Amino acid sequence: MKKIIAIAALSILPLTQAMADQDIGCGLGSMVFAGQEGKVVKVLGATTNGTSGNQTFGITFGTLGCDGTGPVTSTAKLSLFIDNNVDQIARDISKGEGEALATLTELWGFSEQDKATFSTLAKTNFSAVFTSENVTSQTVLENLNRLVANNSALSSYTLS
Amino acid sequence: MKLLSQALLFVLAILSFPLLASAEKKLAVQPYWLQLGHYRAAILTEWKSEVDSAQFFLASSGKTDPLAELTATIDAFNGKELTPVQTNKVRCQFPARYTWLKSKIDNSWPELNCIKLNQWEKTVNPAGITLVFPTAFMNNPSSMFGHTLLRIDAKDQNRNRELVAFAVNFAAQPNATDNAAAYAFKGLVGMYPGNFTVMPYYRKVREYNDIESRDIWEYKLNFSEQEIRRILLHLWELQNATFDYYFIDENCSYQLLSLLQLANENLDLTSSFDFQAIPSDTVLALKNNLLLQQPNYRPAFGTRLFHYSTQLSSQELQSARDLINDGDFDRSRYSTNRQAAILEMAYEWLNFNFNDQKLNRDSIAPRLKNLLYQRSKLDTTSPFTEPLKPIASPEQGHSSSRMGLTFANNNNYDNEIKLSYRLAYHDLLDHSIGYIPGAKISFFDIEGSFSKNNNSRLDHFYLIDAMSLAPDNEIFNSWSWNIRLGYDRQPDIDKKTGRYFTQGGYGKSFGNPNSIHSFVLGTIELNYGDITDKLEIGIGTELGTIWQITPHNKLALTGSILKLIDTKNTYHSQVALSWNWSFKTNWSLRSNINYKSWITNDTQAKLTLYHYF
Repeated sequence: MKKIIAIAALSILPLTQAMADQDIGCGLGSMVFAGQEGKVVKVLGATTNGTSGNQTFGITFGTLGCDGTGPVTSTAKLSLFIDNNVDQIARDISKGEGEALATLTELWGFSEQDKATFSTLAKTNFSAVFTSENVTSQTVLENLNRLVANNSALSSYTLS
Repeated sequence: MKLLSQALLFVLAILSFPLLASAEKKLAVQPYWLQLGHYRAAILTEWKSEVDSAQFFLASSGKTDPLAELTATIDAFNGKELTPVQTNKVRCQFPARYTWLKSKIDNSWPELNCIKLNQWEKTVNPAGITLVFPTAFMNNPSSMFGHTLLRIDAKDQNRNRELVAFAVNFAAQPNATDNAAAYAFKGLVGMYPGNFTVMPYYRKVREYNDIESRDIWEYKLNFSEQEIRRILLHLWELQNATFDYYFIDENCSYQLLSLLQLANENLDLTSSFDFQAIPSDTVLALKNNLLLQQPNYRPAFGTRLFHYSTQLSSQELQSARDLINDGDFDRSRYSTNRQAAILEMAYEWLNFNFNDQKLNRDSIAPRLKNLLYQRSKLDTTSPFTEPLKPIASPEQGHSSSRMGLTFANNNNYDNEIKLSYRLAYHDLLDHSIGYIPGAKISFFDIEGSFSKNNNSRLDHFYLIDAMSLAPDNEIFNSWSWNIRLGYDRQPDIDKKTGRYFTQGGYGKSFGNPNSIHSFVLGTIELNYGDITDKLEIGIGTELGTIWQITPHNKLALTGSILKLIDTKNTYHSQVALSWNWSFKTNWSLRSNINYKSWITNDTQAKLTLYHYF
């Protein structure tokens, strides 16, 4: 809720910038669960081995952040990762292990011990993180962040 | 002061001009300079650069004149007719040229000072380079031979940070408004420009491992930090450069090699590829230059799914199937650990089918979410092991081109000696180590024969002869297909008569390509040429069984029968029994007995020695 107050205070800024500040990270909103492009789309894009929409994120050469100007921040890196791997993250959280989850906790910056705490926390609260099949990656990140904020052992890792 | 120094420079330049000119001439033909400009020997002009974008060259004739480009580059780095800001800009635009030339000619140039480049190097934070090789993918024409890309490994990287490392990909950039047919055609003939892009590695892992279900091999390359820096400086120069992209040469693999060889002045990775560069060959080129380390392996989605299924009993598999269809299964008979196995299997299986068969998201997504939710309620670690790395990695397979010498004994015609050549890449009887099982691609496959009366003739020419025989089983609902396009000869009265044909088949295959594997395809073909009076349509079936006794020894029985519509011959058919013995990685001996019938019939016995190179 702090965010909303902050936005109200910043509302004299140009609209786009205020909107961008509303999100943690980039807020691209891929849908979880079967959110990947189907094969038909792939066949179109893949005959030439290029990925359609390489430039979607404005990271044409790895130097630009999600708004296409500033450098990549660590939070942006985290939210881009979640956006692109949200299916795998959901799967790993349900098991409490896996590469996507390990990468997420690494990017979030948890210590080794707190990684385990986070994984258990997310697993036991699976339905609070993945609230419906139409949840977006942005909401997933916000829900995870809320869990972290409300947990006494992890609250220092809360993203702002 | 500045004026004075510039005037002095100008005078010096005039005085030393003849001396400099000859030094420049020498530099301009040095391999490293030619590699920096991507110059190759050409026909009309002496040299021609593979880069097509004008801004990559500082001289107006730079695309075809390495010397003019060198002179223009040195002039620009000297600040000739440029403001200091412009001079620095051009140095930062070509940092690899700058650092190399700085060490080669007399100069008082400062160290590179480029804000954006520094920021990029800091972000990438390079410590190593890995060659990434997603294996062949039969359902995508540009990936039939596999694809290669690079991963730049960061200094603070561990196994968990690998996914967020940067990937360097060379690909054609298709025009988004083209339709599917135009995509395929233009991609194949090189009408789309290719360029380098940099993106997080996970995007490529998702694309190849998960969406296309291809195994990925990751070879760490033996480069020092200094060498990696040279490679990245040149990559920076290429960020706006475009190239022609062709299917067989100047493709992703070739361009990656042309980038990697800038690591040091003595490396030459591209000049051995004048005609084709397919990914497994380029991996081999790196191996021959002692640049490859032992690879890592990332199993494809399908590989993982199949491996999980082998860890379930048939009863447990049935429960997973129930769970997918009804949303529930009888839990009472299973321990927590086995329930977790069934739930995980059901999720992976449904997700695979969603992706593979393009099922409707609205009905699948709630089921996937429910499966994960149920799994999260079980307090146990995952019961599954992950697939093991296959014993042989792709660079251990046979080379991709093949030539053969055959002795043939014909029932109705003279005996013959045959010579054959195949540009690429693998057939169902070749040594299977390092290749994807159950797939065949013959590209540009030609055979000629000579008989004792000095009769020589073209026996066959297949532009393409491809088969994808993914086995159908209780886990995968797979379809098989084939396509063949070319020219061959069929038995006619007193001689073999030619035909041009195009043929396609679709059907199923069963079994295991690593042991016994059978296929049956419905097939349709168009025939034209001397064997027929007019365009002739054939409809029929093609079937076969391949028995891989060991990876070195294979036996195959194949055949086809097609009904010819609307001609005096009602059908044509053939049957072949073949045995292939790969006695060395790049040598094999193949015997074959075949029977063919068209206007007349003929039986032939052949013995062939193949060499792969």
